Amino acid sequence: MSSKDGQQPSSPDATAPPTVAPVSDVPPSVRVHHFDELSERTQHALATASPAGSLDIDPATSRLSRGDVVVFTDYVRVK
Amino acid sequence: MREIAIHINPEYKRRVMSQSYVIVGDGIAGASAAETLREEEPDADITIITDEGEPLYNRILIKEFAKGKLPEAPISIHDESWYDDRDVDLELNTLVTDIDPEGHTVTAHDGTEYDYDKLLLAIGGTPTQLPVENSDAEGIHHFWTFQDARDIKEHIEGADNSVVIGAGLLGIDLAAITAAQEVEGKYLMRGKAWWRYALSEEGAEIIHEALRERNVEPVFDSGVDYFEVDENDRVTTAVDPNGDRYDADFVGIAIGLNFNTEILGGTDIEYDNGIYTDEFMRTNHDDIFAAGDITEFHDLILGDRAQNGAWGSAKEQGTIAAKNMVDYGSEEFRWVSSYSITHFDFPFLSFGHPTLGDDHVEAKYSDTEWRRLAIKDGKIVGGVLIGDLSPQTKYKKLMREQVDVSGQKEVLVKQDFQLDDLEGAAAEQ
Ligand SMILES: Cc1cc2nc3c(=O)[nH]c(=O)nc-3n(C[C@H](O)[C@H](O)[C@H](O)COP(=O)(O)OP(=O)(O)OC[C@H]3O[C@@H](n4cnc5c(N)ncnc54)[C@H](O)[C@@H]3O)c2cc1C
Repeated sequence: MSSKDGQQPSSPDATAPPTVAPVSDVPPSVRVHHFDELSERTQHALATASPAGSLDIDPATSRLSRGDVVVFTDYVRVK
Repeated sequence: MREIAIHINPEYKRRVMSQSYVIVGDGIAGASAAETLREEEPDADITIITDEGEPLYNRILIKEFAKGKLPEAPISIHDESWYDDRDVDLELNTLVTDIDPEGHTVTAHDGTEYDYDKLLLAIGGTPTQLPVENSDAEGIHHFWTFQDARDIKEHIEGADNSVVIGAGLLGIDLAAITAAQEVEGKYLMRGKAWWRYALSEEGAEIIHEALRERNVEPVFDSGVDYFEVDENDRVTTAVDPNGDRYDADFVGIAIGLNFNTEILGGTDIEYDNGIYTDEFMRTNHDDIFAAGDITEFHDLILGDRAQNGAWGSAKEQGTIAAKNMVDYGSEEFRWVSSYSITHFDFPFLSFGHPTLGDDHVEAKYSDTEWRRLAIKDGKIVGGVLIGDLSPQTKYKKLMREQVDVSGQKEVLVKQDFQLDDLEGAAAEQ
């Protein structure tokens, strides 16, 4: 639903499973989601992985992409 | 000259002539409907009308902006080019004041008329004003739009002390904003617990404690009788019904929403608190649909009318409404809504209708872990999870599938509850 494209920094290894890590600063160009925008499946994966760890989602079907920030109990960034 | 009436079969018209869709409201419900309509009907005329001055933004992130934690840019979801690219006419700063269901037109404040074949009302609500003396003074804020968030941010950054009123999901956002901006605050509540219709005092105490840690003091059995103002009509003090006085140069009020039904006044569109729809989001008029917070929809899970106030539900209703505007009956709305709070170190999630039910069960597992399920006629209708969200999927499944859990309340709140723990018919899920 977002019109903000081209915000995913290229990853050194795009095949590696995504992980999350806390961030404190959010630059204006980053795509940000609130936890409530995510599917139940992604919410579960994120709650399990937070604040840092590997994120058990299928990047092809999840709304989350590498580089995105999610507002949960911490701000976490998908890497 | 003789007039000839030509009747065009609606199905023929749908396939051969381009349909015209008008959507009132560019919140998440209206915008997701526009997106779906364009996908389903590449040639249709689509107009989206909003009284706000900016296109769709992320209403559930504006609190983070007001806290000073997010810049403006990521909060915008669509810029105007999104509408251009999809050939959707966007009318900003345009308030619809009239609907003529027979004539198939809506009229805006400036007299402009918009014809429609199908109309979607995705018009949401407006914060309720507190009916007390000086409640319109400078420094008193309500919270719904991005512009409200900008005003709140600007003001709270220079404030010395604050009062927040409204012990619900929006009130706590205001309290969290005062906390994040390090402004000492009092959070005035009726009763003895935050969100007392969904949480017991034991559950709410987890929230109270988290607020206290952030220098926001919950004040129980309170509220506001009137506000005092200075010579510039700026708020200085909130006085509660007990006569207790709380100095505040920032006040946030979130005591509920008035749904924007006034434009239905001259019509026979059925509504009460919100607009009545069936499970296909259609009103009592074949060509008028509604979606989002504004609907009192036929909830297939509850078997009753219900109203949701959550982002995910509004988005889904917009999508479902659009599909049924194109092809009525094609997809029903069957959804368990959820709403979380992300202000604290522990997660909080409410789902379904946690304030309903004729029975409930709750359990506390630690200082930051607690659960409550609301039950009606032996079935889960909602709940609140604090600290551990992992059972969310299981409870929602039981609710969605209307599983009878009678007599198994204690099993449901076992800390590591699994669906297999249930006995009888419930176990087959
Ligand atoms: C501060 C805040 C925090 C929230 N936090 C969460 C959260 O964490 N999780 C969650 O799930 N939900 C949250 N919500 C609720 C969620 O934002 C709403 O449920 C959702 O945005 C409703 O979308 P909607 O499209 O139905 O209505 P709205 O977003 O209210 O959109 C309706 C639009 O219609 C316009 N409109 C109304 N009448 C007219 C008219 N006559 N003419 C033209 N335009 C009109 C309005 O100006 C508005 O832009 C929050 C809400 C707020 C305000």
